[in-house]
Amino acid sequence: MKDIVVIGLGAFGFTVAKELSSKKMNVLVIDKDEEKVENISDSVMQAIIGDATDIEVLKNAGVQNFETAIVSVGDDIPSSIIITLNLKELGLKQVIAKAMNDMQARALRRVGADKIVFPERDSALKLAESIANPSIFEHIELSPDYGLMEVKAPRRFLEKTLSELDVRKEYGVNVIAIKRPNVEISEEGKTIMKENVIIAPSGNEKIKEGDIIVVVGRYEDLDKINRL
Amino acid sequence: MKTLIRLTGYKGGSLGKFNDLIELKELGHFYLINQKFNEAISVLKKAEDNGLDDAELFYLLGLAYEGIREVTEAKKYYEKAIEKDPNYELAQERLKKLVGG
Repeated sequence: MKDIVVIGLGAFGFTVAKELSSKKMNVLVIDKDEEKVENISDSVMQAIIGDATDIEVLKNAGVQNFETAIVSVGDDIPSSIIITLNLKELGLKQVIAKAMNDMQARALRRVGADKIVFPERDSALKLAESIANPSIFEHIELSPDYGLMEVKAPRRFLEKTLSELDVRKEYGVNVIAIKRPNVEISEEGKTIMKENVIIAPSGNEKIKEGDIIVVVGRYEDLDKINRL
Repeated sequence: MKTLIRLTGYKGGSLGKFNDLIELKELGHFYLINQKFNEAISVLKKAEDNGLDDAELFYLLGLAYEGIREVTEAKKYYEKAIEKDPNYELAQERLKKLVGG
């Protein structure tokens, strides 16, 4: 079981801490705000009211016994830098820090942050993508040249098998999964919508209306699929 | 086939028409659970256009549109279902899933 410290209980830190705790991880949270700490205290292993910019507070909390910490005080740039410095000084192996901008990210890296996350920037990029390309449901960067994309199956793919489409040859991408909507009657007798995921579909699999195809390939080839 | 013949010539009177609209809804439901979303939309819309004003009908239309990934229409029908019956949990769940949050 992993032990994780989360410092800062704004929207991001609160959600991360709760989610990690729900996945059975031992989570210690620290925040200056008494109300925020009280709100989460039932959901995590330990919740401490304290100022993490003071290294003594961190030592008294036993933070040096943890391997991983998440610094989620991105709005307060000087504090995020000091806290990261303190954590590295206490010997934590992995410090993940939230940043609001590139300048803050550079400073955090300088003081030893092992990973920087930009939740607002990443959300904004995703939102822009979803507005600009409504048929794309997800887009993940795998490398500078390759990506993964979930896209509504183009009309010309419908009622054709993957073999007939010969997607790899024709479009240069691999279909690694199909997400298919499925209406069913639940055990309680209710009509509900579920999504079936077909992993590594065979060549005989026919594409149906409503399918989302999960494709992997070079960005320029993914773009071709999106434009169909 | 038998069902279709009944639907094109109403027996007359509001009760007969109402029963036909309910049958349309049931036919739509049948299409839905057989993943025939376009067919479901066709018959369910017919029921709506002929005056069936029913939370479950709207919910089923929402599911059908969601089945073909027409999110805007799906949301519209889930909202209609909730407007008709504010306690319609199934519609609320689907709407939350589509809208997020």
